[in-house]
Amino acid sequence: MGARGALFRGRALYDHPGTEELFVQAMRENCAFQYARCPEYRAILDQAGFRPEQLQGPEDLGELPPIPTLYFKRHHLSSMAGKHALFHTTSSGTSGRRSEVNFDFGALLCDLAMSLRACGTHGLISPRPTRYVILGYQPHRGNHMGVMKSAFLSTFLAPAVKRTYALRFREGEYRLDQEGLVEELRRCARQRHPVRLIGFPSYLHFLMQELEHRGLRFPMPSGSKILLGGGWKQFYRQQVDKPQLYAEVKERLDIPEAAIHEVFSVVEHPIIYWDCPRHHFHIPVYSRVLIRDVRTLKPLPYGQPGLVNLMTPLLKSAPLMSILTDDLGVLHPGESCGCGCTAPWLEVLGRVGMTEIKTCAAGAEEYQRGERE
Amino acid sequence: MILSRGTVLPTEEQSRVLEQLPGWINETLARPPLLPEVTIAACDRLSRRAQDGAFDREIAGLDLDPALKKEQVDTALALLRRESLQAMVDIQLGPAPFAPVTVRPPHHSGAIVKQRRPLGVLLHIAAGNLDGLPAFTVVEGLLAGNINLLKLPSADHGLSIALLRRLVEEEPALADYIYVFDTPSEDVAALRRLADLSDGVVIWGGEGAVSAVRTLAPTGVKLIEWGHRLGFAYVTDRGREEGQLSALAEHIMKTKQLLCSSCQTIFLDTGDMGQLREFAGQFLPLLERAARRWPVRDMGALAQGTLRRYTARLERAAGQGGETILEGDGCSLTLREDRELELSAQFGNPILKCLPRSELLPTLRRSRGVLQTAGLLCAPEERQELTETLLRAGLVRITGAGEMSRGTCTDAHDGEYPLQRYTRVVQWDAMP
Repeated sequence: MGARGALFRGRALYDHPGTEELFVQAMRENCAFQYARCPEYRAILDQAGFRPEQLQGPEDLGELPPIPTLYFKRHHLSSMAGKHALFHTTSSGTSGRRSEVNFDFGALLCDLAMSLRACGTHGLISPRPTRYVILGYQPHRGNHMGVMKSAFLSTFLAPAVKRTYALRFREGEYRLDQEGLVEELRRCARQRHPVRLIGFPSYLHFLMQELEHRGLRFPMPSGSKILLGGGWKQFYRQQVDKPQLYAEVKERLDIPEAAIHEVFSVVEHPIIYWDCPRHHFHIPVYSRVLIRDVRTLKPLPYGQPGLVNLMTPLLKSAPLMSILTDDLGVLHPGESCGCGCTAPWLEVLGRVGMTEIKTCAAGAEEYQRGERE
Repeated sequence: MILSRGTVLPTEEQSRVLEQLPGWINETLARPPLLPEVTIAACDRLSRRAQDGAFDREIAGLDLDPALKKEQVDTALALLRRESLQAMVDIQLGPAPFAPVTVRPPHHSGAIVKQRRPLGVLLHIAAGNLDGLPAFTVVEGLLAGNINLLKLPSADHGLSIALLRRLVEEEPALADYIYVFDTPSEDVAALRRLADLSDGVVIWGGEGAVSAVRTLAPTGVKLIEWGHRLGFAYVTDRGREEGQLSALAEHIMKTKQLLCSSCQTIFLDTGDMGQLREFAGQFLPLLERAARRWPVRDMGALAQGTLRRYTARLERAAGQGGETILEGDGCSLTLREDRELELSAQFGNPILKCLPRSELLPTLRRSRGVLQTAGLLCAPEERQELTETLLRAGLVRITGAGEMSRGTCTDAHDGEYPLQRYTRVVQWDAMP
């Protein structure tokens, strides 16, 4: 078993000091594999004057050239023939272009071990039969979105009595089944099985507003939980929206804040980040996060905002060990959270580019494009 | 926040204000039209009081680029002075613009009285790229005698409401002519109600609401769109001297390429990429110098630029294409081989292209919908001929290298006088 397997089968989810050596070793092994198999990646490392053997200690991780997610959206990089790709996911394509990520067999095993460990640590594995309400897509052969797949997989954490989907695939397209959802909630409230609602925070918010609008309250059986996830674009400005959402859920479904769990993940970096009781995303042992200066790309210390660089040795199918996202974030020391977890936590501030100012020159470009089409 | 009849109200009051608005508007329209003099006098008093320091505390609190703050504030105050606004009205509408004139058309038996009148109610959808613009578009609407409904851009941060409220304090008669809403662009229902009350909708480029407004404005409402434009610089061999190039570099860094008049693409009068590369080598140090003086402060914009350049560098290393980008300190130049006018990555990252002068007119004609300002860097003897060529291609403003975004009180917007578009010409039969 290589260092990757050992890292992902480890027992402690947040023990950074105890896994430092293993993590670097797994990164080095993966880097050497990519360097040998992916000519484009080799050229990038050569140009930067970086060799896989240079990864000897945690301080060397920042020297490994990160690959921007923008790069994966423009070019396909691969270190394995397609037949070894067992599991295929894509990003939702919010920005118009999609990234594709393939899982090799070893990565799938690691992913499974990681999911079980994380779900166990956060108390989500249960023998009690459960009704699932998925505020997202019904699985379908033509849909490879990572979001849909992880939602479906999480319905196996406790035995499923029933699965109900908000977006149902009918006659070749997805349709929102609002009435079906409300009816299912009505049924759930009447019986004894705990209920798990899984999906995007924004969908949950809409559902709560719909219940409020109709004056409906469906107190859920005890032991019910909510799992929120999706792309982390959902998490911007969370400090404003989240407390309101928790209050709505308590009011309409009688599920307490402590039973609401959030996770996020990125297609190019499929590590699951769970929120702690204070709703902070601590970094699990499977990954490391660096914040890089927006001008020089040099690594920054705790507390300073910059571009988010995510690292994990999970995937072998492509050089995805160190990716540079187009998100701005801040890394905080674990102790500053106060929940007891000592692993550092990541605060995502938002996506790069102009968030508020729309310029007239940029407007002209859209206008021109519209006229030409 | 909402400004309604001189009172600042919380956003939650929007539906109540919208309910009463039709009644208020009808009452105001039933009175004699607002004359430019009322607005001019109020703006002049406001500007003088600001000059004397009455609003220094508010100005200090504005989120303006410190390097440009004094210049921007001085320009804005000068624009609000009596002589500026009077010149604006005189040039755009002529002397005594709202006085009735009796004419006797040839081959017609009687006399007809003609008069310029306000359009009535204007809805302004303002963009957020220029501080103070939302208030200024309202002042233009007032000069033409209109009732003004202003939808603020999301990036406004309270400046426009503060300014317009001060204006109403100077002249309470203006209270019934100014309504400001911070309705988000997504609130289509509210925008539709505002558009339904309007005779004209003034749309400033870039605001997300533009396409929505185009579809929701009722038929017959006049759509007045400003500023969906791309600016460029044209540089001849003899225009490549340091003074002009420095001025262009400063213009690029001062406006951050955010305005419709800002330079996005720099065309060099040549067909030779080698010459273009050599020009880039000459221009980059000048752009870097300007970037040190007027650095980009927005972290997201900086990060976006860095990511774009870093990705291009990796693409070149991996042999997967990648543009030719000359990286500078706080800025960059992108060299492209085609000849189309296009939007740059902004924030000090212009695009360089070849465009021999023999191909100027046919090339620019392809972009006719977005032409506005060209900065011309050439020898004095070349200027007249090149200016003429550019105007024939469809440009409406030809300026020197550093003046591309300079505004004066006499300017047309995109080739038209706004006050003419904000008014209508009416006529009736003269009494026998």
